[in-house]
Amino acid sequence: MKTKFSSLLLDGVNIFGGKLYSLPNSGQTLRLVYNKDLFDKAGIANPPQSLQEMVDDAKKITAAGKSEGAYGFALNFKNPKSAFDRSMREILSLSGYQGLGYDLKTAQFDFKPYSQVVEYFKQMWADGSVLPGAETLDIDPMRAQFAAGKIGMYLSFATEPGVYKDQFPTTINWGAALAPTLEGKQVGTSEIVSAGTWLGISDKSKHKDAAWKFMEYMYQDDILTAYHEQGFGISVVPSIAEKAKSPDIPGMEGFLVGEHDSIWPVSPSVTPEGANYADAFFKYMLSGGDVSKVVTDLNTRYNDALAKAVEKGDVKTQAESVLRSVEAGVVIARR
Amino acid sequence: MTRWTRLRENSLLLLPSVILTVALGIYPLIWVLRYMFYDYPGYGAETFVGLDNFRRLLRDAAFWESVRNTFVFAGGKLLITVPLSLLLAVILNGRLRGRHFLRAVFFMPTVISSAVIAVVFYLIFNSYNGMVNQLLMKYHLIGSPFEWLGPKHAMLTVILAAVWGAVGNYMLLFLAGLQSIPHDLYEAASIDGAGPAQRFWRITVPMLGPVMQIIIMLAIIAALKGYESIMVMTEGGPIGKTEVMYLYLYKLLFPVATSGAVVDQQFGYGSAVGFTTAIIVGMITAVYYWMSRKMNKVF
Repeated sequence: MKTKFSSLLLDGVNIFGGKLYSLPNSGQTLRLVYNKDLFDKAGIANPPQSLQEMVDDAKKITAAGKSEGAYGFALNFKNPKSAFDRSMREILSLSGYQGLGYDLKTAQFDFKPYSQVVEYFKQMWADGSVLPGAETLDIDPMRAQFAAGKIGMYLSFATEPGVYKDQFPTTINWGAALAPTLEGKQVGTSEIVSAGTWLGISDKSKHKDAAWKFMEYMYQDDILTAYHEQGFGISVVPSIAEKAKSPDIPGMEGFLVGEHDSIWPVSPSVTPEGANYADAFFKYMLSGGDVSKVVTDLNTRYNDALAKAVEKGDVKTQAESVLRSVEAGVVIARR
Repeated sequence: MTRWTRLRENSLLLLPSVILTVALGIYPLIWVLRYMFYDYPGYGAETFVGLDNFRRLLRDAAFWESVRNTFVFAGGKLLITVPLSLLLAVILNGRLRGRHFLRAVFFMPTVISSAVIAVVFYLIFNSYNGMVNQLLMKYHLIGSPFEWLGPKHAMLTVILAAVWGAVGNYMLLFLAGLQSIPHDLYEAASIDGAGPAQRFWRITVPMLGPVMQIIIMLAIIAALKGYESIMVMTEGGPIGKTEVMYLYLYKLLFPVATSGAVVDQQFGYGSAVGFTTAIIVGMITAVYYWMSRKMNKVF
């Protein structure tokens, strides 16, 4: 049992104070979701590898489809944080940076890399390649537009195939690919999110043995394989992911855990004073300004909040455990 | 029946409302008055921080922006709603054919939940496939989609939605006021040769004074406190352009969690913001009441 999960167990996720509390099962991979028909129509052969290609492709798709209301790119910008946390995150982690603005090496927030990705989004906005009204879109209205063939591409979680099977059944020809990166090269791995834990045992439990017996049952290969194959969640357990068949959901094959995916160490979550990073960057995207000032302001506010949280004892262990995990090289859950 | 039995019966009958008032009105109020001096994320440790939350409030640009937005929203809504509902009431108070049906039609939006109104307005005004843009583009009045809910015009659009939802309600209140004006006043004025305009300005408006004072006060409070339809339509966006005080407050207390990231509730700071917004609304209402005191004196 231990060897089966050995590459996945993380301090601050499954392990606290040297004790193991929980085991992983499935997780959410993040991908670029694209409309193959619109790509064909614009004469583009493959999904973009670099952000510059993404900007160019979005422009081409818009030029080819605008008369029919189809645009190159969209995201659910009504809630910028929800939009950025499903898009920036894998672009950054594949480019070698933590996806929520945290620098794992210095254990401080640094939004410089984040701002570099934002520049490309800003460019698409300025080019008019983004679906009009994207600033008012919730995730489901956006998916409805994608299903209707009005959006060339967006980025999101492995939830999307299920959506286009049941919620917004679609006739468009779509696929999922690894997110583009800053330089067009995969320097890091695409972060698998919500992957750390599935079942665990409370340290206050009076029935630890019984709970463990249940966990042993639930974590046997048959159950985990069925869980994956029947589409309840994408397995992140290497021995299962290798052998299991792809779930019977069209489009899911693009989301399966591969060599470019991994679970990342936890980054501390802090609540700074003032606007969060997504609101601040989205404001820059729409109304411009001095991006270095935005970055400096975010760094100051987030690191202040981090220092306060550490002082209070809320995230002290988290920040340290992140450093330890990086040193120990526990970053990877490759299959 | 002795005095004691009566007292016991009365207290028994009062008990349910007293319990509800204490549990849902007074207890939360004391809770807020206490937590505005604490750093408290809604669970776990609470730390006494004195006036820190209020210092933060003073330097919180987003909050003061939301106060400004509230004034624009409330001002816009009132300037359209009050005259329009008075006009409708005067028209529908006359002998117009089908006036009962029209009264019902105008009152209907009041019965509909403001969240539903907001969804409908979103379907009408969104840029990518909203009905308004579709129509305007069909008849070539605009070449590309107009951003009704974009940064520049979103405030106007949410005001329109709010007006649509409110006009019927105030119309009804004005109608009630109009029907309490004695008819002989109009008859006497007509005999003395007063025209419709004179009758309106010299009789209707002054006689409506006390009612109008209350209606406008209710409208001011409702406009300053309204945020539900904005929350559904724009969530305060784009880039904070429609963020009003109570929506800002709501987000501090009940933040939206996005997948994979924890968002902390800020009950301490939220309480301080809640207290301050209540003071602002209270002060504006008090100032209005003082300034409008003459409306109360009809005769």
